[in-house]
Amino acid sequence: MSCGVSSLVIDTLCKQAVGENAAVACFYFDFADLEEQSPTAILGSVLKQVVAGLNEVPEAIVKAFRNREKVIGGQRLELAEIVECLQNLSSSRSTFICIDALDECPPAHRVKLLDSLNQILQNSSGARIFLTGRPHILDEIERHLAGKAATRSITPTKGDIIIFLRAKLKEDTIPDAMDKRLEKEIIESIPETVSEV
Amino acid sequence: MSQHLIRDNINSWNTSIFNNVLNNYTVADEKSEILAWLSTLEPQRRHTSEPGGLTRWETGYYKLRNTGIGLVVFVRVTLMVQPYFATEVRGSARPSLGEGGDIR
Repeated sequence: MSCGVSSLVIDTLCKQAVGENAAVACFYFDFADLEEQSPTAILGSVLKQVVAGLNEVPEAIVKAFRNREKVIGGQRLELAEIVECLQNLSSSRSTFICIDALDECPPAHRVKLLDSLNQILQNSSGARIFLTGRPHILDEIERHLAGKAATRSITPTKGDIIIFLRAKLKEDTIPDAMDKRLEKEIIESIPETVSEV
Repeated sequence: MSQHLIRDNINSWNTSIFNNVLNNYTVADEKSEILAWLSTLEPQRRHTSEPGGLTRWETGYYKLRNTGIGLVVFVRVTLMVQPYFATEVRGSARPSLGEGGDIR
């Protein structure tokens, strides 16, 4: 469900960014693909999106590419170099980095990632970061981002869940397997299991 | 003389266009190479485990699994609210999410 939050935020940011010379980069964690989601890979991907939006690739990146691609056989940027590039780019242009489902990032990677994000925030006035995740990572985020994070806890009301279920039932691609009784049971039973806040 | 000039102009024009095309091609081509070098991930891909699985009705038991209360963390950006769902129901109905119905 955090994906819905992120998508909404990212779509809104992208629309606003068009007229404001801002960059929006996003990353959606996927628990099925964790091995490839190291901090270096994640921020490399963020950097790729930021660079893709520029008319010209920054000279430092072009030089690094030419040197490493041809001499060392394609060695990629290291985490510290990526962080530095992002700092530089977001210093001259508002840059929104959105990371969805941070709780799905393995803890060891998460620490490095949060420290890198903190470093970007500390050294760049144009960087803005948006994270979503489950509550158990809140302390970790506050610890690593050292008071820079504003947080908001979100929960559904019973009414929200009923609206959501109705919408999903309406999208059912095999409606023959559903009848009024079952539909009623679903609508009644699922919201009962969720505690409202 | 005038013929010579015209030919020179044509040559010059052709050369110029050719160079521009070549240069543009080179620049664009290198940019795409650099982007691929920066990352091979497809970050814009959104979750594949959306609750769309709810529509996969089958005979047998019905399970919808999701836990936790949602949290959105904003760093120096405006606040915004959207719900997560925390539900678990087992046993009574026919639909199934299928294997590993871990919905976020």
